[in-house]
Order: sequence, then C-alpha cells, then structure tokens
Amino acid sequence: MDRQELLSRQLDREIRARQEAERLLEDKSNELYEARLRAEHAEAALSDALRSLDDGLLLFDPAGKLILANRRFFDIYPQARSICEPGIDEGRLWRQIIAAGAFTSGSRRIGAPGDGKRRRTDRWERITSGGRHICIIEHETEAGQRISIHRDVSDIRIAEAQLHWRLAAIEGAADGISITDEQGIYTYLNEAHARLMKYDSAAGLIGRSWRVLYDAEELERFDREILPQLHARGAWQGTARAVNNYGDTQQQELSLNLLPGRGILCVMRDITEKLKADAEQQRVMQRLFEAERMEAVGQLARVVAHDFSNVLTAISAFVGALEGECASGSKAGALVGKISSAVDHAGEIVERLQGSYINRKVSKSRVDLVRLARDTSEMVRATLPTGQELRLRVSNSDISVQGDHAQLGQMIMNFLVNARDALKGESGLITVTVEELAQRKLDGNGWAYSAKRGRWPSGVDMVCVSVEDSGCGMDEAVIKRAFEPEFSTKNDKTVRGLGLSTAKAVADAHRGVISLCSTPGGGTRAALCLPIYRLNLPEEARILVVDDDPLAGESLTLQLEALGHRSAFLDHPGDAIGVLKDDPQAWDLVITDQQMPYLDGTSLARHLLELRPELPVIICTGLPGSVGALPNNVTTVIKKPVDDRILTAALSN
Amino acid sequence: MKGVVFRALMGVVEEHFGPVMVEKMLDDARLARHGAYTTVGDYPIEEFFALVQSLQRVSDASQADILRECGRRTIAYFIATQSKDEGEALGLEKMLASLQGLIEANYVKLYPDSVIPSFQVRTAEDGWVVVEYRSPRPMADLAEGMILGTLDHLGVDTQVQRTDLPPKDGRAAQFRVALPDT
Repeated sequence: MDRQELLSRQLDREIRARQEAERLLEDKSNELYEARLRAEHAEAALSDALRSLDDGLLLFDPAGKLILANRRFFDIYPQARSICEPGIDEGRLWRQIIAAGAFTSGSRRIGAPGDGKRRRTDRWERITSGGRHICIIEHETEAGQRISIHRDVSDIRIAEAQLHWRLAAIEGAADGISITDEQGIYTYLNEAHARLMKYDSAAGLIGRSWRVLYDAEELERFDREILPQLHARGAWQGTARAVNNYGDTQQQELSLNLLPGRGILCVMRDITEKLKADAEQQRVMQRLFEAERMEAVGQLARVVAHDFSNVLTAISAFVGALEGECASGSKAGALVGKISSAVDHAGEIVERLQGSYINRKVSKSRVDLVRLARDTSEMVRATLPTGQELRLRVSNSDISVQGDHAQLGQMIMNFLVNARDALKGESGLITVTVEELAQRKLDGNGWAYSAKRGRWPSGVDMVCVSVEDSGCGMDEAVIKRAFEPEFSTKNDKTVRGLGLSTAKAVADAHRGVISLCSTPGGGTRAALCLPIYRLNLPEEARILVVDDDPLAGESLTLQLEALGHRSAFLDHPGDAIGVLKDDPQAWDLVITDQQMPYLDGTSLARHLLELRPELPVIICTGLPGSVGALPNNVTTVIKKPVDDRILTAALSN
Repeated sequence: MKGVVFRALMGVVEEHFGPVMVEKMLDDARLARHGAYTTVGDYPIEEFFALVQSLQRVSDASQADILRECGRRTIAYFIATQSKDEGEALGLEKMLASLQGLIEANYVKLYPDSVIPSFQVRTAEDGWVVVEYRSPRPMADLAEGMILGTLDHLGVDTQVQRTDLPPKDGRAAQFRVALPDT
C-alpha cells in the first residue's frame, strides 16, 4: 500500500467521520431545539401553575437572589409589587417589604425556632397588616435553590378558633356530653359528664362501654325500646335511670343522636334534684290549693256567721230583757242565765267563724279558765247519758290566762268530748279540774303511760285545766303517737281520735304544756297548763291613751277616770314614744288603738317594749282577729267600742 | 460505546504500529463503517472488540495493553475538553474521584440513556486511594488505562495495584493507588 493510497483512505475515513459528526450534531441540534420548545412549553405551564397557585411563591437561586415571584404573592403583600425585582437579594427584599408595612406592628414569627438558624425546611406564621394569618414555608432544594411559600391560613385559624371555642363550650357545659363508637365504647366525654356520674375525670370512662352506667333492668329497656327507636329515627330523647360511680341511682334526661359511623352522641342532664324539686313544688301547689279551698270555705263561713250574728244579737237582746224579768235566784233566772251563756258561746263561735282563715293568728285576751271550764262543762253535761257523771273541781276565785278564748274553750270541749267517748255510753265518771299546779303534778305517776309536750317556764305560776275519765284508756302505741300531726284513730272504732296535735298547737301558741296520761282499762287524763296572767295595776293607775281618733281617745280617757284612774290622751303614736322616752316610769299602762296612719298599735307596743319592757299595753281594735303576732308586753286585745265591763275586765287582770 | 474510545483505539494503533497497521486492522475487520468514527458518535461495543481482535490477528499486540492505552488516551481527551481551572485545581485523590463525573459529563450530555461504568473512590486506612470499578462491559483494562492516564496528567509516578473482582471477567476490579508520599 503506497503512501498516496494510505492518505486517501485516511482522508476518506476522516470525511465520512466528519459527515457523521455533522449529521449527529444536526440531530442533536434538532433534539436540543425540540427540548428547548418543550422547556418553553413547560415554563409556560409552570408560570400558569404558579399564577393559579393559592399560595404566594418566591424562588431564590443558591446565592439568595430572587428568580421569580408569582402573582398570588403580590395579592398577599401588595407592598412588594415595586420591590420584587428579579435578582434582588433575599434579605434586602424582606427588609424592604417589612419597612413598607407588610406586617402588623410588633408582629413576630409564630412557631419559628428561636435559634434564628436557617434549616432545610422552615415553617412559621406572621400576621399581615391586613389581619391575615400567613403561614410561611421555606424549603431548600437539592440544587440549593430556596422556595418560599406563603399560604393564607386565616380561614383555618378562624375555624380553629371557632372549634376551640366550641370545644371550650362543650367542656364548660353543665350538661354531660359524650361520644361512643359503634361498639358503644366511650371515645369522648366532657368533664361535666364524668362529674355528673361521680367519676374523677373523663379518663375513668374513656375506653369503657356506656353500659357500665346502667343496671340490668334499664339496659333491658335500652335494648328493647330505646336503641331500636334511636336506630330507626336517628335520634331519641327521654329519661333514663343510671347508676353512678358511687352506686347511687340517678335520673337522667337523655338526648341521643346517631352519628354517621353508627356511634352515638349523647347529651345528658342529671334531673334527680329537679324531680325532687318538682315533687316538692307539687306538694306546695297542693297546699296552696288546700289553702285556697279553706279560704273559700272561710269566706262562706264568715258570710253565714254575719247573718247568724244578727240573729244572735236579737236573741241576746231578748235574753237580756228576760234576765230583768226573772227574780234573782229563781229557777227561771238560772235557766235564762244558761241561755245567756249558750248565746255567749254561740257568739264566740260566730266570731271564730268570722275570723276563720288559714293560719289564723291567736287573738289573746284575758280568759278566766275557771269560768270557761265551768261553762263548757255545763254544755257537755247536758249531753251525757244516764249513768255518766261529770264532776267539776274548780277554784272559787278567778284564775286568768292570756289567750284566745274561743280556742281554749274549744280545746276544753274536745277534752270533754273525748272523755265522754271513752266511756262508750257506759257508766263512768268525768272529772274536770282547774287549779294552780306545780310541775310535779303533771308527772304520769299512777298511770301506765304518759306523754308530755311543751316546756314548763321557770318562775311563772301555772294553771292547769284537766279532764279525766274512767273509760277504756289507751295503750302505749297510741299515747306515743297522740301528738303527731297526721295521727288519727278515727278509722279504728276501738280507740279514739283525740286531735291532740291541734291541742298541742294551741298549747304552743299560749306557751303552755300539754300532758296525756292513760292506763288501758283504767281511764285517761288530758291536761293543759298555761301561765297565769296577772296585771297588778295600782288602784289609781296612770294610763296613757293613744288613738288617732280624738273622739274615741277622749271618750276612753273619760271612762278610765270614771273607774278611778288618772289618764291622758295623745293622738299620735310618735308623741307617745317621745313621752315614754322622756320618762319611762311616768305611766303604769298604755292603751292604744291598733289602726293608726303612721304606726299601728302592735308596732307602737314593740317600741315601748324597748323603752320599758315591763310596761303593759292594751290594744283596742274593731277587728280583734286581724291583729297579728303580739309583742310580750301586750296583755290583751279588746274590741272597740270599749264598754265599761270589758274595760274593767282588761284592767283587773 | 462512545466514539471517543474508537478514536482512541485508532490513535493507539497508528501511534504504536503505524498507519498501515490501522488499514490492515480495518481491512481484516471488514466493518461497514470502515474506521469512520467521530468522537461524538455512539457505536456498538461488538464493533470495538472486532477491531481489537483484528489487530491481534495482524500484529502481536495484547488486548489488555491496547485497552490500557485506549484508556490513557480517552482520559487525556476528557481532561483536555475540561475547563483549565477545574483540572488544575484537583489533586490525585480528588482527580480520581472525579473520574465518574468526567465520564458522565462526556457521555450522558449527548446520550442521556447511556449505561456508563461506576468508579467508587475512597481512601483506605493505609492511606492508599482505592478505586472500585464496575461495569456491564468487560472493560477493566480500559479503566486501568484511565487511572494511569490520570496519573500521567498529574505527572505522578506511583504504584497502582489491580485486583480483579469476581467473577473476574473484566467487569469489576479494585485499583489501589499509592499516594506519592507513601
């Protein structure tokens, strides 16, 4: 092979190689062109994607120079429009954006690490001057580029806040709120639920079945009635009986709602106390109803009593005329006297009917127990069958107490009727005794059983009115329960219904002591002991009269002077207080009207009680029954107009 | 296989055996291209080995020597096409460590789907630099030539120990290169 051929072959190879290289380069050039087109297309698509992003985006090169910012970034930071030029340094960019007022004054990074170091990925939040919460996420790529994403999370934060408030409301609710999964296992309970069920915390029930809170009977009701309705309708409301952690039964008001995953949302309220309150309210309403009924009956009684009072007035007038016609000591005179007593008693009943209303106040006045016992006994004696004897053992002199004449008379009457009933129509003896009594006499000595109610006051003289029978007597059980308010033996024909709770109430109202002694087959003794009332005025007493009606006041003054007393009249209760303040010892007695415009009689008495506790006060009123609770210094209440007989009696206490 | 290696082969044969031997080798190989290779081309490896086998038939050259020389020439070409700053800034260890990058830069930029050999470089406890070569092709001799070419470029005269790794078919080998001061 000569040199020329060799060169020719080499040249030929070189030409073909270069041609191939050109072809390859052209192919690569075409590939590059197509790749550039694809890149441009991808860049356009990327730009569209960046523009359509809900997040603001910045891209920095590894040297920290800005490559691009999308449109959303400027929506979030309008101040950045004139600042975000490509190539600007990242630190300078943010200094200028902050200086332009992009963030609220004092706004700091929220949630960023406190060391100030930059990490591959950083995340924090700031609040813009427009009040938006912006979550900023920075990420460094493998190539060292840094992407800064700015996401508006205001709606999320608001929703979180609302959720937080709602959760706080649920946790703070007084009602128990709980959620169970489809197996009935508690996955959530608020603290109220746990507390209502007497658990220390919700943790005590989380992970346990709701069935642990109900007994077998109630669970059977759940399975049979409640759960089928809940699953059929999606909700159920009603009451259930739970058992709390202490083992106590608890009444609940439940509202159950079926959740999408077949779990149950339960709102529970403990209504145990509410049910008790409802029952109590029911009882109060019943009492109110009874009171209203009694008031209606009372009103009817007062109307009837008013009419009957007119008839009694006529009878009384004619009896008074008859008394004048009968010779002293004659049998007719005695009979007329009894008629007069009966009329007086009827008058008291009428007065009581006129004053009958619920919780009627005790109308206190001086009551001669000797006379009251005698008169009442005489009325009962007339009803006794043959073979039954009533003996009266009373003092010859008056023994007075301060009290309600009608109530005391009625009580003695009840004692007598009980005694009569105890004899059961057979022969027997009833003994009525009125006597000053020492405490020891009230003991049940000689009797099989006894009971006593009330406190014996010290240093006070007492009078006792007792009724003793020789009847069937009472056993211990009856004696023990005799003073109970609801106790009655009326349905039992072998024992008597005594009504002693009423007698006890009367005794309490009069600061007295009531006693009951009995021996089965040996008789019974019922006794009432009351403080003896003594006024002890001097013969020529100094009596101050207070009445806003000058005519009535002056008239009473004249009556008192006629009875030998010294008297003065004031028409204003304030003047009376002033007089007593000046000289508390200047007067022995005050007689005051009850109805006065500035201060009523009982209020005046209370003022005087403070000035001089032992100064007695008598109240005059046209409606004695309407006077309320009396202070201790009021000795009696007398009815206006005041006649000499009543006045003398009041003063002679 | 990249055209730069074919061009290296042609250069080696011409340098060591003369241009006539190149023609003989090409004639013996009877390839359609008949030696027209460009450095930016990509040719079947079978064609490369056909040329090497032809060379063996028409001369006494060993395949390993030929491949080593091709490696030297190839790496010299790569280094020459690099920017001057990059090449001079690196010492021996880092230069060896950059072999992978050099190959990638010259192959993958033109042929992204190329399958290229792997050069894992580390420093052993005894201070030697260990280069572990793995390739789907049995070209450990070529790799050795590349390492030697790197040393040539740096002007370093040092010891290179080669250990063929299983299955010892030229697809994997470990090269231990002593640093000049060891």
